[in-house]
Amino acid sequence: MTLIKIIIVPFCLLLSIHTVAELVPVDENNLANISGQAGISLDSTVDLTIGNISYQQRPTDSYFMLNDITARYSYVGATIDVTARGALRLGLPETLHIDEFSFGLYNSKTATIDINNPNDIQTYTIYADTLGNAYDGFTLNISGASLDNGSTTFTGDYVGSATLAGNRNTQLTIVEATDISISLTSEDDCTTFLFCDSEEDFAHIVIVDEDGNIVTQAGQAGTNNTSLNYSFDSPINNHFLMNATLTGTFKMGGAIEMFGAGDVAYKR
Amino acid sequence: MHYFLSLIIIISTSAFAELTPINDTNLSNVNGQNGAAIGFVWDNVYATGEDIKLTLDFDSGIPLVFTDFYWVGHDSARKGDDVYGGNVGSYDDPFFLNIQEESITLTDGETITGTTLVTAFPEGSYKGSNLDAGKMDLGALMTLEHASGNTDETWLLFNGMHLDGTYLKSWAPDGGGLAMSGEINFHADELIFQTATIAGAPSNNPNSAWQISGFDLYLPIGHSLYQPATLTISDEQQVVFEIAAVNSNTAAEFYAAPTGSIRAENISLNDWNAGASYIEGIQLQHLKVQTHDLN
Repeated sequence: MTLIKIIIVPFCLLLSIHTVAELVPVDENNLANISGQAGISLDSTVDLTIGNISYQQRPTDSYFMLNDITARYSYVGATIDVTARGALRLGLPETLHIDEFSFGLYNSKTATIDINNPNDIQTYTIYADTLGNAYDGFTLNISGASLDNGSTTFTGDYVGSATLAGNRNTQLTIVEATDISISLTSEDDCTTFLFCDSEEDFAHIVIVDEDGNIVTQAGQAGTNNTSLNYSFDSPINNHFLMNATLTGTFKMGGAIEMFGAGDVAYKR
Repeated sequence: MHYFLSLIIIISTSAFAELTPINDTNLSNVNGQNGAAIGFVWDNVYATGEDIKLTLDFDSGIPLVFTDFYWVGHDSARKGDDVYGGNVGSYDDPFFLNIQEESITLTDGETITGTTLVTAFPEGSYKGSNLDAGKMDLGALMTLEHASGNTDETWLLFNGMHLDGTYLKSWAPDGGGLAMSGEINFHADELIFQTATIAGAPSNNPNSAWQISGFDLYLPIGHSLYQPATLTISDEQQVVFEIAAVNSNTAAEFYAAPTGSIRAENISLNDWNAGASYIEGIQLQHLKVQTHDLN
């Protein structure tokens, strides 16, 4: 019996030490190697922009519109699991950090554009970029299906066609959907090397909206002639109501469970 | 043995007969065709803002700013390790989404039928059950930042609130668009509007607050199929919210429906108690709210 104790007691002591060792918290790396864990843990970083979301009650009505929606956020500690009752359990993240969640609220309409109301029209600027040099050798041509019916107007020095001489842009005002063609041609086509003016080898067309954003462009260095076609959408007449911006950090807890609730008839 | 084999064959033939697919006609005769609702339960849910800032900018140039946001279980700590959450619904009485068929016969005999999408909070205390465990506290500090640099700060504190019994229905009416109806059931043990400085702790000094105790709001907003509520933008780009007018054909249904009420068991302003106040029997026969000067 004593011999047995001599063998068993040290064995039990060794075993208990291992048992304590097993109770040391498992870190994330080790957890990741364990198979058969219940649920899924999620961390996420999101950088999302949406141009607009609109709602129209009836086809003839104007719109509610959320414009320029930005969502930049990250979260840690969200979980997805299935409970014993078969419900999908969505654990809220422990921390939700919002760098920016913002949108503008507008109402808008697409009909009855008032050309005299600056809020009703949309203006684009067409830059015929000649590498910073105002050479007379470039000709800008703009044509479009709607140019003659009053839906499109130009302001500035340009009307229909012009040879550029120090004035390298023109403004195009859109009051309804319009397809246009733009070409920028050099009178010097570099037929021979000796008569080629390298300063005229840069033909670049850029269309910029009211906010300074490039909507389209064509041409590049080494190009004598450039052209592009573009379809302008009908301008949307937006009226600003409110801007909302949310920043900061939420500490969160708990979970939302989702499940088939059977026939939950209207009771009230 | 042969008898035994024959018996197996007969049983298996019957089994095949049971597996014949049910066609649409048969399915339409099944009771409970409202469709399987999707239920949701909020389990110990909370959210507390660390440095949360919500800024609403209007044309006025004076932004409206909300900070110090919290949404926690009733009487929970508002920050730190002792925060606990609140519950909404249960497996037997969940928050749910459902699609259902509805029908109503009006005074002139016309029957209106339609499919509605229902979004509903649990019935909960609406039916008299004790839902103290589901109450939550919601609060935020509202700040008006004037161009001069001065600020006005007010704590908005909703203590012991729930929305049990609240629901929203939406459907596509004749003529297109989206129609809605619903009921608001809002309860709060306390509503507190308290002036404060940024460093001030909410509700530590109730004498500087406007406080409503035992607040209940029950308000039907339109009625499904026959009195729709709509939200539109007019040709002049004004926002219009309208609850359709009651007429002779819908009056019987309308006046038989429950009426709205607003109840406050006590209203106090600083140390002045105004006592209880009740508004009962609210009926929205017609409501039209329209903005002006948005252009």
